[in-house]
Amino acid sequence: MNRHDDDLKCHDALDLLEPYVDGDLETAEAERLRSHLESCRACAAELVLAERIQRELRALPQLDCPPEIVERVRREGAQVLSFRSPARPRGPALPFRIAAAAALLAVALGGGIFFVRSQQQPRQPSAAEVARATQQARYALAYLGRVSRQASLDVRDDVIARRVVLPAAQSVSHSIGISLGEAPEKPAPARDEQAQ
Amino acid sequence: MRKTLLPLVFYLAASAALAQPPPPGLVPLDELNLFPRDQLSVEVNLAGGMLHLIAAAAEDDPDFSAIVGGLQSINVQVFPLKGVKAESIKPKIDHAVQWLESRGWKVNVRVRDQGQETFIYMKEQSGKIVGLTVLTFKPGEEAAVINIAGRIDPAQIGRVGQKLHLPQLEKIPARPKKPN
Amino acid sequence: MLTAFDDTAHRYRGRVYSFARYLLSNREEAEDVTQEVLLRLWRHQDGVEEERLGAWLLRVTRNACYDLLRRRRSDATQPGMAASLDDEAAQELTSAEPDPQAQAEAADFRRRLLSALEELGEPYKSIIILREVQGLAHREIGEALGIPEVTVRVHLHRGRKKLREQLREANP
Repeated sequence: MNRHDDDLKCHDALDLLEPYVDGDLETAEAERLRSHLESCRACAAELVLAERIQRELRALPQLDCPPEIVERVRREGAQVLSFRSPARPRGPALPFRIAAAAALLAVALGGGIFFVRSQQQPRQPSAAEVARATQQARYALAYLGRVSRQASLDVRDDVIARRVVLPAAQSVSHSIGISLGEAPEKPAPARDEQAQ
Repeated sequence: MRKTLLPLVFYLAASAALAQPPPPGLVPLDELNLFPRDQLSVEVNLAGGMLHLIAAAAEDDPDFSAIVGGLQSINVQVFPLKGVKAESIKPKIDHAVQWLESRGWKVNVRVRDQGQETFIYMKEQSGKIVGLTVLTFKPGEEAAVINIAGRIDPAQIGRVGQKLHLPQLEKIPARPKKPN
Repeated sequence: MLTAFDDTAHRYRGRVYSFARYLLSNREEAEDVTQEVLLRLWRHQDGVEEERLGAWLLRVTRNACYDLLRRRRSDATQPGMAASLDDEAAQELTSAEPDPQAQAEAADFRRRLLSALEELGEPYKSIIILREVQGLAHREIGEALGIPEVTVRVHLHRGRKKLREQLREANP
């Protein structure tokens, strides 16, 4: 009946169905499975189910993204500028001047569409959101402080052989020396051979 | 006329801002793909606009306000290492180090101590520090990456950071909200 | 002024949205995630290499969906969210079956399939969506999820086997 003896157990055959459907089995293994399926109705029914699942999954639609999502992203991005603008101390920056010039041009050409779109004001974060963000910013700085403290201890203890401190390029090593607060005036000697 | 022009200016300026490149000191942590985000204990993602609001709201703490006001972004990811094999995270830290170094970040301090590793990287532009990234990894405790971008004065950050205690954060990451 | 961003956003927004939609089974949340991912694209696009953009976007999408799913778990008071089933995908399909009974059976099968997919764990769910629903190559999926191509294949087979077991148990 079969070209090969059906030496495959149902348990093993069920493990091979999805690779078989995908054509990922070696020829000999696929042949063994086919032999088993010819003589085992239950496993053959499982193969039908496996094939149907793949067919149905592949028939599921690509769901369309509503176009207003991209618009929302633009508005959200615009929020960044509306917060930034008061922080400019000395007159408008170049993009701002270009924008102003473009605005004048737009008015001259009757740029009504720009005006309509500009009415969409970005949402201002609530006080609670700002408070939460403040807590997060403090957390970040505190974490930096903690790491700096730990690093500075290691800088002072660099005589201990197991600890390796590599001072960076001269241009920035001074800065971190200050940032570490208690770091020594002289940078610790580099030990390249232990660093990697 | 002036009333009409002002929103126009803001709209067009906003469009200009949208086209601006990201801050040079920004490290896109998603790109680094260091830790599984569904297992982070802390995640902070703060960008320009919110940082200005934080700075404005922190008038009672001028040092903190000055630091935050000069920053363009703060991003933090903390990943607990309890029950996690150190070997599974170490290659990712190494990958992050390579990523930074291939993009012009200079290691400032590298500390190895009994399994704990800390890297402090800085990025310079025109002689000024525009980015600071810290990678730290302590087996059995936690691993973290912190990136701040913007106008950075390490001395000030070191001074203020050492005064602050680590506050307890909600274990919910920050993310942008949909405008109403 | 926004050409580069617009171009990328239009090229990938459907893929991002559809992935999020099937991962979350929720339209509003998928919209939120798509918005967040496109915002990140805008912030980071210069830091991501062009050829890795697609994989990066899918990874960010998946992470953002994880965040939401985690919040769902921690916010047990959110009504009906965990149990929600995305019927829209099932409704958008028109059955080729002429017989009403066969049509009903096909619709029922699809609903059970979507339900089983919704319950499927990671990484199986992501891989099945990306491969079978979205038709991505194994290599692209591997890049997006940070795993070797061969692992993608293994997870894909295991994931579909789990679906088969679920559907068999539901209809022995």
